[in-house]
Amino acid sequence: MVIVVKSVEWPVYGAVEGQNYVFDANVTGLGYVEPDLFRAEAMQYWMDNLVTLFGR
Amino acid sequence: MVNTCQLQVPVVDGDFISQSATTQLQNGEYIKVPILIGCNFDEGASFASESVNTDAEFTAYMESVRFGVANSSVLDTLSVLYPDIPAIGIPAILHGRPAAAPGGLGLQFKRASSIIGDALMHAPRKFMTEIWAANNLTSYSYRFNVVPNGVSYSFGADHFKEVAFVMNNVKGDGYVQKGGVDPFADKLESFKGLVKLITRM
Repeated sequence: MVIVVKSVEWPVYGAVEGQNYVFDANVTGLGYVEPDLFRAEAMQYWMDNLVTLFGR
Repeated sequence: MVNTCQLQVPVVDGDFISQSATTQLQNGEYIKVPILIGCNFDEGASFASESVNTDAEFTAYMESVRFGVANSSVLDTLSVLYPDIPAIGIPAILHGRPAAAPGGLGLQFKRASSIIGDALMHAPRKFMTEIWAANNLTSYSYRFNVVPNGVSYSFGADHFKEVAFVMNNVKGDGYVQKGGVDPFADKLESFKGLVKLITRM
C-alpha cells in the first residue's frame, strides 16, 4: 500500500485561538489541526498559578 | 544529603538559575525567536507513580511531587480538575481501569499520568505558546499521538516516542544496538508516511 503524503503547513499559534498540529499515524492524512483546548480548565489553573502556588 | 524527591526539576539556585523561568517569561526576559514546541499525548505515563489506588494515595502522590506544597485547598482543586474517571485520563488507549498495585499499574494510574504530564509538560508548553502569541512572536505547537513498535500500549504515546520520527530514523538505527527494538518494525506504512510528513513541514 502506498501512502501519499500531502504537504501541510504549521498553523501559527494565535493569540485569540491557539492551535496544535496533532500527529497520528492512525488518522487519514496522518495528522490534523486542533484548537488547543484539551483539559482547558486544568491548563488554565496551572498557568494562572505557576509562580504563586507551584513555585515555578 | 539524601534526595527523596521523585522528580528532578529546576530550582532557583542564584547561580545557573537566577529566578523563576515563569517570571522571566512574563517579564519578556527571553530570546525573541520563533519556536517549535510540543509534547506527546501521554508524556505523563512515563513519570507517574505506579502505586496509586485510592483518593488518599492520589493526594499523597501530588504532595510527593510538590504540587501546591502542602496547601490543602490547592490539592482539593486539583483533585476536582483531575477526577478519578479512567475514561478521561491518559493514556486514552489504555482502556478501562488499570489493575490495582502492586502487580498492576494502580487503579488511579490514568489519573496520576494525566496530572503529572500536564504539570511538567503540557501546561508549560501552553504557557509559552500563549506568551509568544501575546507578543506577536511566531510559535508552532504540536501534539504527538503514535505508539511505535516495541512499546507497551499501557503507556501510550509517552516520553521520547516521537524521536525516531522527527529524526527521520526509519531504519531504527541505535535502538537494536542499544538493546531495544526497531520502532518501525511490523508497523504500517503510515508510520513511514508520518515520518515524511513531519520532516517535510
